[in-house]
Parts: sequence; structure tokens; C-alpha cells
Amino acid sequence: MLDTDKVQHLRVDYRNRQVRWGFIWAIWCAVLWGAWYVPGFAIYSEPPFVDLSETTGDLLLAAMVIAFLNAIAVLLAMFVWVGVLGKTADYVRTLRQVKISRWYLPAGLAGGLAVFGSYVAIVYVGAQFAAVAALLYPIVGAFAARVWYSERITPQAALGIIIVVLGGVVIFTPGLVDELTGAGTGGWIGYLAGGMAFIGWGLEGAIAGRALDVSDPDVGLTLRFTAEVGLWLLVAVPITIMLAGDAFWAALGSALTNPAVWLLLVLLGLTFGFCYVAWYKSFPLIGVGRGQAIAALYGPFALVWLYLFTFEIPGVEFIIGGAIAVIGSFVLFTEKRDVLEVIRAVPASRVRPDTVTRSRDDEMTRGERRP
Amino acid sequence: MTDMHMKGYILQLFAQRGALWDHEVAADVMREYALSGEYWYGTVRLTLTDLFSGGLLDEIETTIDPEKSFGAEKLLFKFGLNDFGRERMRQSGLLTGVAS
Repeated sequence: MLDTDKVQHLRVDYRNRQVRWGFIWAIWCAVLWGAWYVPGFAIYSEPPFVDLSETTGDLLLAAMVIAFLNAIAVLLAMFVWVGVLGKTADYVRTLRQVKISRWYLPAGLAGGLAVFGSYVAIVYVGAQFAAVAALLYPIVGAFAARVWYSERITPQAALGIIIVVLGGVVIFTPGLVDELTGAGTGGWIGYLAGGMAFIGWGLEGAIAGRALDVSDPDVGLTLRFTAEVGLWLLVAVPITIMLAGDAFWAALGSALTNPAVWLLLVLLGLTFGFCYVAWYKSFPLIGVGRGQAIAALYGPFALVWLYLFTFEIPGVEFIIGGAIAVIGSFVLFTEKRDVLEVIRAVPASRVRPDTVTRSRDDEMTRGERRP
Repeated sequence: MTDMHMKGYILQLFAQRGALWDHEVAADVMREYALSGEYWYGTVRLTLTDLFSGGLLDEIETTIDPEKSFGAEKLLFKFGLNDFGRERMRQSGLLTGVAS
């Protein structure tokens, strides 16, 4: 006969370990996601990108080449990761399940546009703006989940969305007003790109969530970056060549002969690739809601990282707007629908696990998984 | 060896055989994919946690049996596929050809 106390003790131990590791993974995601903006900003100081700054065409070409190389770098990092985990065969098997793997194509498209948008926002407005602008992605995720999956937006979620929107207004308004009144520096493309970043990541999460339900997260993320690289090779690179001609090949060739660019690409691949990995590792352990709320701390982390490496103090609108958006994310992502995860996250001895039941209303919102 | 990816195969096991203990699922998966060791046992258990957390599986029962968990006193879980899990399987083509 089973010793009930022992079962209870093991259950408490199991839940506590699960929650501890869930928080560790989510914090790692925030640290790495924030760190990604440092090499993403620094790469513009290296040839050939530092010289591509005269015209809009030059700046967009630089962003195109960097985003393309970023996708390849992350995919290579993911291949190494999946190989080390012994999941390469599962990657091939999942790829062949077309009814599942096809969802990673639009996810890769939306995510790729978000990354490109971030790089354009970095070069036009600044890395600090690019970082905090993307904090608005939960708004899009919540609405996409509402429209596509009929997931309800509860009063608390609505409040969270309103707070995030307020943060967005604080972040975007001062610069946009300058642009509209002619006092700006022609950076409206950067603000547009900042919008592209949060819309893209919001949509990516909503699309990828469905495929991740039935495929391994490590494999799924690799498929998502495979799709992004495929789209670059088959669509975006040919379009860039049509628009920029030989300038594309010149920029790519020059970038690949610069060792500093290679180093930055390694850093981009590792930070971005493993922020995704850490994020999705946290979900089964503490729930999507908590994982996303903690990951939103990437915004403040990015501002700190960028300050440490550039000594540039972020604009006050980015600090305040970013803080408001993070608070909104916590309100949005820690509401009742995550009640099971909330129960898990408190010391289990305070609840009677046997009374824990799961209902459809409590189910986590898959549609809001970020990129 | 099946052509199905591991998570899909696990879901199909539940669809075909009803509620299962995690060590039963791990043993079946490791036999099917010719794998062995604690790493893959843990990987299957983590996948089951993922499926439970995603709302596709329900927890039915728990027990302790060190013989089933490499000598360690670990909590073992029995899971069952729920309606939402079956629906996601149907949407993903994972129920095709599966006798349930």
C-alpha cells in the first residue's frame, strides 16, 4: 500500500523543482533576448554596414543583409542544439508531417518580418526603441487568439492590453510627433518598422502555438527558422537583388570577409536562438502566462545591456513606456485562465493537489506565444 | 520504426490504448525508436508534462515505484487524452489511420 505522506512529499518536491526550473528558464530567456540587441546594434558599426548609411536604399539593404545573416546564424545554432539533444531524426520526421510543419511557414514569415523590422528600427531610431517597441506584441497575440481561436479576452486581459497600449503610446508618441511636425530626423520608417516588429511577433506566436501543441519545442523552433531561411533564399533575397542589384552581393561578400561580423553573427545566433529555446522550455514548467510575463523583462534587460556596452542613457520615454508595458504584460499574462499554473507556482503544500482540476476556461492561451 | 515524430507517436499511443502510465509510454517510445537510458526516459516524461500543460492530456492518477524509475523514488503519473487533445490530433492529421 502506498504511503500517502510520501506521495504528497514527492508531489510537493516535484512541483517545486518544476517551478524553480521554469523560472530559471524564463529569466534566461529575458537575459538573452535583451542581450540580442547589443550585437544587433554593434553590427551596424562594422563594414560594410557602417558605410551603408547615406540613403534609405543603403539603410534598408544593410538591414536586409543583417536580418538574412541573423536567420542563418540562428538556424545553425538551432541545428547544433537539436543535434546535441539527439533530436535530428525527429526534426526530419516532423518536417515530413506536412499538416504540422506547414504551420511553421507563416510563423517564420511573421517572425522574419519582425526581426527585419527590429533591424530597421535599430538603424533608424535606435536599439533602445527597437527593444521596447516589441514589448507591444502581446496586444496582437491576444487579438489574433480571439479572432482565430475564439479565445475570450477576460476583463483582466483587457486591462492588461490597455496598460500595454498606454506603454506603447508613451514609447512611440514623442518620436512620431517630431516626425509629423517636421522636427524629426526622417525616422518614420523606423517607427513603422517598430510596429512591424511587434505585429510580426504577435502573429508568429499565435500561428506557431497550434503546431507546438503537437510537435517538440526544440524541433519546432528549428523548423520555424528553417522556414525563415527558406523564405529569405526563395523570396526576400531575389527581391533584394532585383531592387539593389550588385550592391547586395557586394554587401554580403564584404560582410563575410569581415571577422568582426562573423563574431557578431555567432553572438546573434546564440543569444536569439537560445532565448527562444529557454522561453519554450519554461512553458511546460510554469505555464505560458508566467513564461511570457517574465520574458517581458527582456525590455528592461535590453536597456541595461545597451547602456553597459554603449554608455548611452535611454530616452525617458523608453524607460517609462517600457516599464508600463512590462506591468501590462504581467496583468495580461497572469490572469485566471492560468489558474492551474498559478496553483503550481505556489508551494504545493498550501493546496490540496487532489482538488486540482483542469477546465477549458483555465486552459492557457496558446495563441499568445511569442515568436 | 515509425515515420511519425515522437510527440505525434505519443499522442497516437493514448488515442489507441487509453490512459497510460508515463513509464509505460517511455518504454514503448524507447522500444519503437530504438533508444535507451535515463535521458530518453526523462525526455518522454518532459514531453508528457508539455502535453499536460498544453491541455491535451489529463492527469488520472499518481504513484511511486522505484523499479519503474531507475531506482529513484519519483512520482509517476498516469495520463489520458482528453477531447481537446483529440481535436488537436484530428486538426493535425494525427488521427488518420489510428484505431481509437
